[in-house]
This record gives sequence, C-alpha cells and structure tokens, in this order.
Amino acid sequence: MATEVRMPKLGMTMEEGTVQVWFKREGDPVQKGEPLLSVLTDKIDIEVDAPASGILRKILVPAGQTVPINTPIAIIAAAGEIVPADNAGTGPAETFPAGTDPTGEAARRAGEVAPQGKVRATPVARRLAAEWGLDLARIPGSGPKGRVTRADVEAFAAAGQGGGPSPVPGDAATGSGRRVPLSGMRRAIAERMSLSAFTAPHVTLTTEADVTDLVRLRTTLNDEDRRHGGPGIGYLDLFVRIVARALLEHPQMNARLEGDELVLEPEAHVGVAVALPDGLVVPVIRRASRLSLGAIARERHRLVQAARSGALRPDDVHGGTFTISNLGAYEIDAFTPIINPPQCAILGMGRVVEKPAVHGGQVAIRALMALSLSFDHRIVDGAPAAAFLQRVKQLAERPELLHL
Amino acid sequence: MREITYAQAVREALAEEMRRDERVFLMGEDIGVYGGAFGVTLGLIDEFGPERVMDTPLSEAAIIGAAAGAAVLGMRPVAEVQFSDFLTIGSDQLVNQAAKMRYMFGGKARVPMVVRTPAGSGTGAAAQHSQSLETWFMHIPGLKVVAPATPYDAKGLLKSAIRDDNPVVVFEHKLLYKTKGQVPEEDYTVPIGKAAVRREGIDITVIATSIMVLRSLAAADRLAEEGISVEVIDLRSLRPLDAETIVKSVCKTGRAVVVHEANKFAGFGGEIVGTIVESEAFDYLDAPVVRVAGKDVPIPYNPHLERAAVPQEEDIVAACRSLMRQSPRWRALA
Repeated sequence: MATEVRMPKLGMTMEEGTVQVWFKREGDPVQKGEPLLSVLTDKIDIEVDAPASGILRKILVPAGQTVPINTPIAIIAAAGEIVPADNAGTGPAETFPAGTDPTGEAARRAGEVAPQGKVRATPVARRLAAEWGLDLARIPGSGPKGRVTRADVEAFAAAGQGGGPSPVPGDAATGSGRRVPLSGMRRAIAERMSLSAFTAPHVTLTTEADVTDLVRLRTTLNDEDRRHGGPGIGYLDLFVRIVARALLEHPQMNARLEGDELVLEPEAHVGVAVALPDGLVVPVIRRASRLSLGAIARERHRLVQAARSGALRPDDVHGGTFTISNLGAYEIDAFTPIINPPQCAILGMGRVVEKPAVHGGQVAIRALMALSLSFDHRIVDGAPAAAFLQRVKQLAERPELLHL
Repeated sequence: MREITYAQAVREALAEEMRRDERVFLMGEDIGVYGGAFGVTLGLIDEFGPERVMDTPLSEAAIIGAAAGAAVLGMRPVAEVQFSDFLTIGSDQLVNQAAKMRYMFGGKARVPMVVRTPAGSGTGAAAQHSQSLETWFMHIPGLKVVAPATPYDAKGLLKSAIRDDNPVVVFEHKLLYKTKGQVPEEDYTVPIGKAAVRREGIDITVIATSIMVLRSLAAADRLAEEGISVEVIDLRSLRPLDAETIVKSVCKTGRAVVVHEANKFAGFGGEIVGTIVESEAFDYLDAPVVRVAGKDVPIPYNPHLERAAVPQEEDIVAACRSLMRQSPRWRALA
C-alpha cells in the first residue's frame, strides 16, 4: 500500500516547514526509519525518517519549498504499484474513459492525496472546532496520520487563523536594495515578535542592582567549576537560578494566557536567548529551580553548543515558562525586551559595570547592573510584577539568600 | 496507624464479622487446621471451631452450592475457592442458582453469600492456577464482583460483601497477600460500587484494579519524571461499576488507558472503554482509548514468559508515553 509522507509537525508552534534536502531521489529504495529528508522548521533543522519501506515513488514538494504542516510531500510505495500521484499533470479525461466517476476518483488521482471531506480529528478537537467556528479541514494535525488534536485546534485558534485578510504584499516597484528571502528562522522570529508586540500589552520595568557580592560569588564558583572540568559559571547561570527561585514564589509570573484561563505552571522552565549568525533561538533549561548552579551551567553549555551547531532537539526549545535575554556582553544597560509568547514576562540582563555608589553611608566603587523586566499586562499588573523584579534584585544583591 | 498484610486484613474481616454475626461461617478446601492454601484463614478454626470454619471435600460445585443453599435459608456463608480457576467447576451453582434466585422468586429469596478466591499470575502456578476470570462473573446479572488492591480495601470490601444480601465474588490477588498497608483496628466498611482516585493527574486517566493499581501507580511515578501527569483510578468494584468517577476523570484528562491482567480479548477493559465512549466523556477524548491487558494466551509456566504474558509497569509506561507523543517521529527522539 502506498504511504504518503507528510510535512511533520515537529513542535507545538510549528505551522509550516521547508524541505531542505531530499536524501533520496525518486525511484530510490527506502527503508522505514532511515533519514529521508531534512526539514527546516521555524526553529531548527531536523532529519525526518521514512515512515515506511518501499520505493520513493514521488517527491511532491521539491527542496527549498515551504509548505504547511501535514501537506503531502512524497509517496512511498512498492515498485509497480499505482500511486495517486502517477496521474498528476495528465488530464483526468485522458486517464478515465467516459462512464467512470471522473469527479471523485479523478480529482483524487490528480495529485490530491488526502481524501476530501474526511478529516482525522479527535472528538474533543471536533467539538472545540465546532464551538469556535473553525474549519477542521484547515487545521494542521499533529497526531498519528495527521490526526487533529485538541492542542492543534488551540494552537490554530491562538494563532488567529480563523479567518481575516491575507497579508498586504509589499511595493515591489520601489527601492533598489538587495532582496534577501527571509530564512525560516527569521520568519519565525518576525511572526512571533509581532504576535507578542501586538497582542500582549507590554510594560517594562527597570531597576539597578548592586551585584558586588554576586560578582565575587561568580568568580569563586567559576574558578571552582573550571578547576573540576566544568564549563564555568556565568552571570546568566546565576540569573537562571535566581529567576527560577523568584518564579516559584510569584506563580503569576510563571503563567500563560489560554483563552479565558490562566495556566499557572508549577515548574520554572527558563529559556535563555542565544544569538546565532542568522537569528536567535531560545533553548529551555527545565525545572531550573531544582538544579544546582553547576547543573544549570552544564545544561546551558550543552544548549548553547547545540544551538550553534544546529543540533537542538524540539524538546530543547519547547515549554519555556519565562525567558532571559542577556545583552551585558554588548555593554548595554537597560533595554525593553519583547516577551516570548505565550509566556508572561522576560528579563533583560544589562552589563555589570563598576560605578561610584553610596554603600553603607560612603561613596564606594560598586558593581552595578541594570535589570529590565517586560511583562504582559493582561496576565499580571504593575505592582506584583514590580514585586517579582524586586525579589530578583534582592537575590542578585544578596545571593546567599538562595541557600534559604 | 498500624500496618498489616493484605492476607491479615482479609483474616481480620472474617474474624470480626464472625464475632459480630453468628450466621457468618466459612467453608473451603483445607481452610481449617491447614489455614487455607495461602494461609488466609490460619488460626480461625481455633477461635470459631470446625462448625464455623468448615473443611470441605474437593468439590467447588458442592462448596458454592452448599453456600447458596445455606444463604437462602438465612445463613451468611463465606466460601473460599482455593484458586479462582476452579470457579469454573462451581459456576453452575454460582451463575445458574445463586445469581438467579432472588429474581426467580420475585424478590422473596435473598442470597447473602460471599465467594472469596485468589486470582492472577506471578507465582509460577501455570495455566490452570493463574487466570483472571473476573469478566466471566461481571457478565452475570445478580452477582457483584470486587477486586481490592490494598489491605484497607481487602478488609473493608469483604465486610461490605458479607453484609450484602446478594452473592458477591471477591477476587484477591495472590501477589497482594504479602503486601502491607495501613488498616484501622476499629470497624469500617468500604462501599461496593465506589472507585477510588489513587493519584490525581491531568494528562491521562489510568483505570485499573487489584495488582494493576500498584503497577499503574509505579508507572505514574516514572511518567511524572518525564512531565506526564497520570491520574490513577482504582475501580475496587467491577460490578456495580463506578462509571461516574471514570467519566469525570476522562472528561478532565481527555485520554484513558485501561489496565487489566486478564487477556485483552473480551476482557473487562472493553466494558470500561464502552462506558467511556458512550458517555459525555466522548466529546472530551483527545486520543484513542487504549487497553493494556494480558496476552491472548494461557499463562505460561516459564517465569520469563509468565511475566511477559501480563502487563508490567513498563508496559503501562510505554502505553502512556505513546499516547502523549506527537505523531511525527523524528530521529532526535528515536
């Protein structure tokens, strides 16, 4: 039996994927489980295995083309077996003599692999789609054989894809600049940042922390960790720890908005923004409040390496409940980070800089650092968000409190 | 609270009910001086004597038939069937007599009898001494069927069974007899027909009885480490079935796994699945309902095959994982 290969959904937020490379050519034999193609998602590149053994009879989507998830991209079948795409391009009238059913059968044979009118969906997905007035057939399914699940309907609704106008095309006649097509990652960033900026009412709070003690602690721990062969402890690691602690104490900051409900996450999964030559990824350090600093540093090191070598797995980038963006290395003080949706807030770390400051009634040289917190005012109000940032500042100024 | 074994809990229920009600008496093979094949009735003959702790010939038809007759005449017998496999021999008396009399005499006959019996595999007792036949008796109107998983329920459900005016079959699992748990010393009962939520969760409802409750809870612990939150329902009673608890839970989680030791084909898992999909929970299902059950074979003697023939913790973990996994397989997770 012919097996169609579909654009897989490789992450909760993935809506389309780009075929990067076909590892096989049409007519090549393939074994179930061997790499068949690589797909560029909005976040990472992934090799996709052949779902069945047979001959790669038809490549429906060539390399370089971007299609929505669940779109048929190839057909694997036995040699000699008639596959639906065999007749693609030839007219139905030629293929089917008069008297056969040209409408249903011919239409399907002419490249339309999925049977029309039947959508594979779970009962709850059907109910929600009906309640929300969504066309189930337009919702990409992530379940087995493209089955639409509850999460798919919710993601579709959350992405506002129920209808609305199509994007306005740019004015191609003007301008003489070089035109570069957006990479998948660039496009993902564009979509997600717009979504966040235009749906979540942002408020950014800034404060300055005296991190003199934290600097000392970091130096000690860094030396010790390196002496034991660790990757070394950075300020980012310390702030992952601090933020994870503060999030558990301020659960509304660890929440996301889902329809009419707030989802309060019991664990702090802290994402860290990692800059790449052509964009940015936010791998996630899971259950960060339960990890030692050394463990956080090792995991951060692994994730950064994986991000730079393109080896992040879907699980590495999903499920974050809060994000930290560190621009300290660029001598930035405060900035207004954009929230990583659907999270509630993001912390911007500024540079650590020595300045004259009043300390114990004296002007002294102290290490100071600006902290910027952007939060979604739909989820939380100014005072509780400020209290959260105050707690972060307190833990940064007196890191010994982390032992409590 | 003190901890005692499942076997001790059963023995306490029997002793306390015999002290409370002189109509209660025991019958079974080698239950007197020998104390029963699994030692459950050990010592009871010393307190209650051979008239109330009665050794019988090796005839399950006679044991169950005599119990049914005694029950109709006003006694409250508790019959032990040494291995639940032997219920097949006594099932004419149980199915055609005990279960029918109350109906056929227009409600004028009552049949307050209990059949206790050790069930299940795991002891190397091979195909004729290891079955899980609860579904056979669940199918019979007029019988009640319970399968306690904990010492607390073993005592409380047996007391309810003895006080019930209908025939009740109590399946005790051989591997549970030595498990320990908290059991109060004061009198209490566990109502027949009421399930217990042993662990709350939001992703998957696992529905089990008897020893499969313990394996499901162990599986839930492991799955929790992977971020999968499993709710475990211990049915306790198979007939009457607590559909309300099941449906409510599945409405919450949207996914259900039914676990039983009996082989899958025509096992009670099918009944649970039917109950779910016929109910309002249907509109909340986000995945096919899955059964994790025994293989469709007689229980093998070889201990490795015996283990492989019935669900283990890892089988439950695997079923739950595959329910949660999104479909496209990618190499990173393979």
